[in-house]
Amino acid sequence: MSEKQVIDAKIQAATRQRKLLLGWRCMWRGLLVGVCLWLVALVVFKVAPISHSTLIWVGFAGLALPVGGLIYGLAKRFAVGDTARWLDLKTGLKERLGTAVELADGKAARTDWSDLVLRDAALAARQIEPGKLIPLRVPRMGHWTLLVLVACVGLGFVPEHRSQAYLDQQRDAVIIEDVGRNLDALTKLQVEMSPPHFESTEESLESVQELGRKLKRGKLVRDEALAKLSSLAEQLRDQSSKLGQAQTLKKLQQMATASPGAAQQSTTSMQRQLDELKQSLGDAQHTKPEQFDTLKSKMDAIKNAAAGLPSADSPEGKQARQQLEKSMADLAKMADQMGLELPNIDEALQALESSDIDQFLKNLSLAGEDLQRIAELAEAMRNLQMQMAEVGKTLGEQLEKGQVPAALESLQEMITKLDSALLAPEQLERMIQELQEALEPAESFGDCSSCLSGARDKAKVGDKAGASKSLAEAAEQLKKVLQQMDDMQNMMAALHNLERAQLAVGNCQTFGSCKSPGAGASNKKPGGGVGTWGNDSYQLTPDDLAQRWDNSGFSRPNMDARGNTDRGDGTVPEDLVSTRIKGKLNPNGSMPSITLRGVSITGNSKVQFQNAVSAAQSDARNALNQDKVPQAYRGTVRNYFDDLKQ
Amino acid sequence: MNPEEKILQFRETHEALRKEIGKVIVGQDAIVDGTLNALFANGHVLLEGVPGLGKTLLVRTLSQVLDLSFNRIQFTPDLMPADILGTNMVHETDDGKRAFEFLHGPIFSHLVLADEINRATPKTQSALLEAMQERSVTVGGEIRKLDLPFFVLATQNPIDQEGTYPLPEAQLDRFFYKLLVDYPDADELSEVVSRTTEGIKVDVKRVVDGSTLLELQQLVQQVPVASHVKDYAVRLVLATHPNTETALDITNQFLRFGSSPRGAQTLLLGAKVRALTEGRFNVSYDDIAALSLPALRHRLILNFEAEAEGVTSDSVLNTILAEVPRDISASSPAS
Repeated sequence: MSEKQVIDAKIQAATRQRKLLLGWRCMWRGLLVGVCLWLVALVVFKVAPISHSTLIWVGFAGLALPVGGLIYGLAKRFAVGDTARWLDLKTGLKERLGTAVELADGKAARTDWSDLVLRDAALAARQIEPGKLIPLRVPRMGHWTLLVLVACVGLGFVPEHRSQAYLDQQRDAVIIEDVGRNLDALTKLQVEMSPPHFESTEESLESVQELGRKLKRGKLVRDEALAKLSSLAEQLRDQSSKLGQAQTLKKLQQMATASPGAAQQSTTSMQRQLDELKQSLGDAQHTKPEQFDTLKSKMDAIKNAAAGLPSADSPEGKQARQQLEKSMADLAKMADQMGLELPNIDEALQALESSDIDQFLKNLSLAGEDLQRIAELAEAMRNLQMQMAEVGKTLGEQLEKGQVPAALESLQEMITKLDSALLAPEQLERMIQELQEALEPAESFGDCSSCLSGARDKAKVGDKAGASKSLAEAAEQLKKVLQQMDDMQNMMAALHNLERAQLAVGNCQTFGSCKSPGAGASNKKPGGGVGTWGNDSYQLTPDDLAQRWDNSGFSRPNMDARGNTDRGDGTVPEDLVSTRIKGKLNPNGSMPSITLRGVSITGNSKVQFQNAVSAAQSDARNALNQDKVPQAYRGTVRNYFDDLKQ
Repeated sequence: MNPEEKILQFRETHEALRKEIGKVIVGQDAIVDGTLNALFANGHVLLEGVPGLGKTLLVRTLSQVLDLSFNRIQFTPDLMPADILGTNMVHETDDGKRAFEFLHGPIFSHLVLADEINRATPKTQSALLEAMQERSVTVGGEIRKLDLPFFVLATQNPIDQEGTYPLPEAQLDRFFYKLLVDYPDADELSEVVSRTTEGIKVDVKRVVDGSTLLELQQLVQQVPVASHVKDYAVRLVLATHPNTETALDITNQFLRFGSSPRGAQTLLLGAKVRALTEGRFNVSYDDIAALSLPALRHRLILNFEAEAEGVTSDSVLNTILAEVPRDISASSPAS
């Protein structure tokens, strides 16, 4: 190996070592910068409301920096002369290698002197071990890195400081996003399940869905969201009102409310459902509701008795067990007589015989669930039977009661008969009579009446084909009415969703907790919602209230009437003595206790009066927009809040 | 003779010279090395020190070990340039005519000792200018070459001494090195006292003749210098130039003028000699740094602020040495 080759080999090895060293140092430097970034970001995050995504990005950047540093170091290129000089510096070769490389690479011809220098440098280079020049060890900045890292971890335990306004804003944003998501999903589902028939309805539903998407994107603040929801609801309400003014739809709507099943389903469909229910119930279809109740109460009694069963070793235990077995046998017999198939009762009996009380109770519970399910099926069957009973027998009755699907079915039947060659003259006469009776109620369904009239006249002269055609036209008219009804229901559903959304955003509740505007928690009657005037006759019961809030942590004072319990000498408790005179507020002072939505709030007011008034005014506007304030009171309510603002 | 043999001869000669001088001069290794370095680099030396430190003895000893002609000029306030260079005298020829004849001055010698050079007036001091740079003198319009090798060794007392004239800048610049002779330490002083008071006679041998010395001076010039080492010398010299881009803060603060290009030449030539004496065939940063003080100290002109604050050229140079990086690329963070 020549002197030049020896020198080159050593320089190449040193270059690799330099790259590694540079990468190592850059990695630590990057790590230090990265953890400093983390620290700064964490400090900012603790005192200022920067987003979590920013924090995550900074975290990734902090991780990327050391990796980038390492890559930079390993990818760095070093010139041969540069590394030769570096080796001279690190090994104290007194610039032997640097001079030799320069002389060897130079364009000048080789001389005795340059050979001499190369030989001397090669001799010195043989002693060098580049791998041992600088060992890889944690640099001093590593200690600083660790220190900053510890500071970051420590800072992680410090709670964030967030202003109340910011928290409110965040909560509103979450609610608005939730409302938007639900509004979008519900409208989409609604369109899929019942596609709109008319362009105007389609546009309205599209605008509701679009608003849902906009809310979902979280670009709107609370006031803006409320304004947009309110505006769109108003628009939909106007459209619905126009549709609702049509006499036909009004009637159909009334009928749908009074008898939802008969107005919306055909007789055939109801009969099919009834058959299926009867098949499911089997022998139990004749069981009366009170029999189910009796069986259920007996089952509950046995369950209670089994839960407190004494030990099997004691005489009382044995006696109670015998009693229980007897009751179970009676229960099984009764279920059998009712035609109910409850296999869990037999299994429970076996578990009782083998003294496995836990299994017994479990089987009994399962039997109770089965019983509940069968009772519900029986109830559904009875309802269906009642609905079928309400279906009109003739076309006239069906139209009178607004049972359009049934009427359509009757018309179809007539058309089939007219198209058939086997139609007897008596049957044709009866058909003419039925059409005659249906003329008056059909007047509510647009041109249906004239079509029926035409069919009657044609049937009278024996023009069966013409009569069939007129009946088909009448059926078309009815279908159109049905479509209008569908669209109106779609509109109403969309409006309902919008009102839920308004309520959710206005009351800062999630969409799911506002099941129905104006309805109580149990969703029984409208008018029970807080801050609405939907139904003046509705009154909130303590049970309703108890279902709305979880007051389990509260200890309430004795609320019993005086005289029922001993409550001392009748003095007012210290915490109930008033400390403020109504109507006098101290600026920046303690706020008098107020009751908002049933919860007593005390503390220092941190909200500006103007802001509070604005919020109240906004709530009032929502209430007005939701059409829940009686017409007579609207002006008064609006003036009251306008005066407050002034 | 190939370079290796020449280098060997150079080292042997250098060692022999040191050894012979060491028989007479006790200690003062830096001064001896500096003087020999300048001798091989074909440069002149200015020795500065208070009286009695052996400056003159060193030069006399050097004259003894070199097989060269030697003249000593004792500089006094009344010394004239002609007393150094020589003068044209009128004399009668054999045919009775009168003609000018040049009477050579003491400068016409291989080795000239200018003893206490700062006791003469600047006019007389300047008589050496041409001789030192051009190795020739011009008298009466005629240029007369001096015999090579020509080597001026001047001694001077510190300039704040009574009856001294500071050397002009042009004159100072022509000296290769300015060596500061310091007091000997206790052991050295004890040895000096013993040798000079006990009548011990020391014989020194002649080591090298003129022609050999000239060959060795040519050998020195062949020592290669890497570009980055040369660059370091250049950057050091440029750093002494006040109010330039390359100037350091201390330069701007305390210097009126920096080193001339002769300073860089001196650094490289001296470094080459030092490399050879240390057994290397190339010049290193250390060679440049080690010779910076003797090569540059007399080439820097301090300003009033430096004089007032007692700042010396050496302290300025030490700061420059500390602040100017040796290798810009190799000393980067990658190292």
